[in-house]
Amino acid sequence: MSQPFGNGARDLVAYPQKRPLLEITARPPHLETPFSVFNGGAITPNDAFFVRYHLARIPLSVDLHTYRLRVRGRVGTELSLSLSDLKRMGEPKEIVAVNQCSGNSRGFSTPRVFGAQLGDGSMGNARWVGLPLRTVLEKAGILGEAKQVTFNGLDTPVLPTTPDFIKALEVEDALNPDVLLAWKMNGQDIPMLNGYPLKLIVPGYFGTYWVKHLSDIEVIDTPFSGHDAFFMTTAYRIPDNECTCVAPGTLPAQTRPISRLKVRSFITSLSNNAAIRINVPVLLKGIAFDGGSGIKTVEVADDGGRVWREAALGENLGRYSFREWTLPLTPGERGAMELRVRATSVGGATQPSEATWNPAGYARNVIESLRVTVI
Amino acid sequence: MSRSSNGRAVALCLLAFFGAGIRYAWSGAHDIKLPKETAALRPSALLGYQIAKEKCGICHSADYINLQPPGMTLAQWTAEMVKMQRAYGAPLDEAEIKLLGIYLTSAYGDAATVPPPDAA
Repeated sequence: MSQPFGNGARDLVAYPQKRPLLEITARPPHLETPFSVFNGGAITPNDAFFVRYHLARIPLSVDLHTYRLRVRGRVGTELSLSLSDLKRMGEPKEIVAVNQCSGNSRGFSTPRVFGAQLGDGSMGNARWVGLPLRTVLEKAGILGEAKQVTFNGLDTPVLPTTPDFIKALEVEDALNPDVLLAWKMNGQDIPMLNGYPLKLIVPGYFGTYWVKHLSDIEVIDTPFSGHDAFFMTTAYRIPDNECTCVAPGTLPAQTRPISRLKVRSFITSLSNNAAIRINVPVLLKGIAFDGGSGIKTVEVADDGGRVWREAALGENLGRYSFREWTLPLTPGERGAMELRVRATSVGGATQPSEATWNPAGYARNVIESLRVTVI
Repeated sequence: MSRSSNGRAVALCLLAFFGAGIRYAWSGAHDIKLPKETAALRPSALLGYQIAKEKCGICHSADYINLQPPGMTLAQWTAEMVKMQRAYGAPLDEAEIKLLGIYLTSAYGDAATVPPPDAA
């Protein structure tokens, strides 16, 4: 397969519990979902779900007899929980939520930037079941001076000089009842490469916070810092301004940790350079999502963006989910046609008509445009 | 091409495995084996190629390098090596960083930004 940017050739390779996916890197594994999968429904199947690691020492097996989730730091009672302890601790909760890589679509950055050169397939939407993190934190008893909560998984760096992959949330965000410690994904155990046996689900937030193989939670009373805070304090940061962007090729004066997904929408039923027939109705179909307010409208233009028509929204699986949309179209003229799609969130945010730029190529959400030919 | 057919073979084996004993598969499926790593760095007579073969592969497969955008300059590739050393703790000294920058730019980037050897 090939992505529509320079050096975009990708092999389709089948990894354990996965159908053939676009191989970005082999070690650590980084796999992208072929975009056609998103036309198959609002839920992304487990075997098609993208995979992304940072550190090469990843768990290839987990023994539930010895696996424990530790909860420690500024808490009244430290906990060490087996998966069955966790399952018995409270009422499980189900949330449908999009997990999108911060760098999804990075390969389209202009000018190009270093990093995993991703197309649009480093995202997925699944039904997650788990215990609210809040339940566990309440059980442990967060002490008054607590500021942040950090999350570490079983993957580790090859060299001790490389920072571990540890993420932090503000205490108030960690206590949001929608943040889950999930053990089920679309009704099954979470695939190993997606974080078996336990994954942190932070609905509305970029995938970088969704720590895999979660094994250690620490409540801290100062902002997370030091060598192993690298993925909060240096990486995964965006320009600290409204557009989270800077002039192409320049550096931001100030940055902040990336957090919520920006509103995005895609056409999934047609691919670039497709041919459609004059006077024959087609049903355009696609998906839209945002960082958790929900999708208010999806509009499509078939004239490059002058006249917009509102699409019909599909079933609402919750405010953190992909929302499917459809719109009938009957092309009346032969030749080139530029289709555009834009979504507006319940929170009132919409997509920019020109792509913005930031040095790491994060959080792309430009209005997508598709060129087709009417024959 | 061969990667894809390998992939298919792996998928078929997995199917056979799961089909053979669902019960065993689901209690033991969380023991996985990754496909073989196949990517290799672009060969070069430059000194940096030997250093790249020795050092980059400690932490990641060669495809991390192979997939980077074309046309990056010597300054960009060298800065990336500084990042590997400072941010990710790669065991590289200043001379190695310089040689890696020259190799990577020559093999993957905008070779015109690499000064000729006598000027370097």
